[in-house]
Amino acid sequence: MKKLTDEQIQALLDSELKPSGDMLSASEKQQMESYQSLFQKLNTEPEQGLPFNFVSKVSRQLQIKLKRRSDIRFNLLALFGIIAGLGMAYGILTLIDLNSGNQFLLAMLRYKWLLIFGSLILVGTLMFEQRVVEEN
Amino acid sequence: MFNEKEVVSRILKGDFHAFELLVKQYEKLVFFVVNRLVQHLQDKEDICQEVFIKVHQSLPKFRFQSKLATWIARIAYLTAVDHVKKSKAARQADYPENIDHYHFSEDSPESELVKKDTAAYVNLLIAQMPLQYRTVLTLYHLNEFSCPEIEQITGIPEGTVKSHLFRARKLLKEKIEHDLKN
Repeated sequence: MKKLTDEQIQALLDSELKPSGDMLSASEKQQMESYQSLFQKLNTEPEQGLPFNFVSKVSRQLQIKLKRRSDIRFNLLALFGIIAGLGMAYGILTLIDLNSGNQFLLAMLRYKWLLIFGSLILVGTLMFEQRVVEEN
Repeated sequence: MFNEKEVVSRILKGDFHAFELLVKQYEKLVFFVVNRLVQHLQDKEDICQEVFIKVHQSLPKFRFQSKLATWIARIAYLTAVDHVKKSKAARQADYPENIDHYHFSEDSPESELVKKDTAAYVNLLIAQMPLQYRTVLTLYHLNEFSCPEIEQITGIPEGTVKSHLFRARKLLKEKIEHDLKN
């Protein structure tokens, strides 16, 4: 009879089939036992695992991330709200009295750098915070 | 019983308790994948956390075209491999030039110490193997995925998965037999 190859022995064990001892030669029996023992070790779960509070850790981390994202959304909305508010104020003032509208525009232009830097600092802080949170 | 469709739909509605159920259900699966690919203990936990955060972020895109376990295992595998590649400690042994001619190197003092405990010795030998062998052994034996599922997870063709699995087990068996004789 033809001797069982390593591939055939592995395939038998994969299909959870084990030929009876009488059908195997001594060397085949030894090979079969070696593979069986190896398969048992391979199927054994590692002793070390994740900490018992892993689920709550992940949940907490996720909540922090989601809160950060919602904070960023809120701050960006606030920024756009301010810009839109200033634009609307200018539009309304111009409709009521062209002179007042122009004065408002001049005042805004006088403080344009303050407005631009204020906006840049806000956006920069948000981006920096987001990066720090993601890195941690 | 864990009903994956129901749990996923609850998570998408913002139910944190449902997300905790999902983490509990799949934490072992993710840990087994990460554990075999990543060396440092603290990194392992951090990567497992990162995997579940990614799962939560990507869940709206999940269309149940595969099992949820397979999809999560793929995220875990890709995250762990990405970490291994980025890590300064990435070893030459993880990516040998010709994987089909891989052989175990000489015994280290550490291996001499654990030889008596066969289970620990098998784990030590697996840790020395190339990343692809470690991956298929873990996904097949510990996570109980089939070869087509391992192909979905890793992108390695099914035929190559089978050949890696066969060769990795043969190498381990021969090494253990050889060491037990000596």
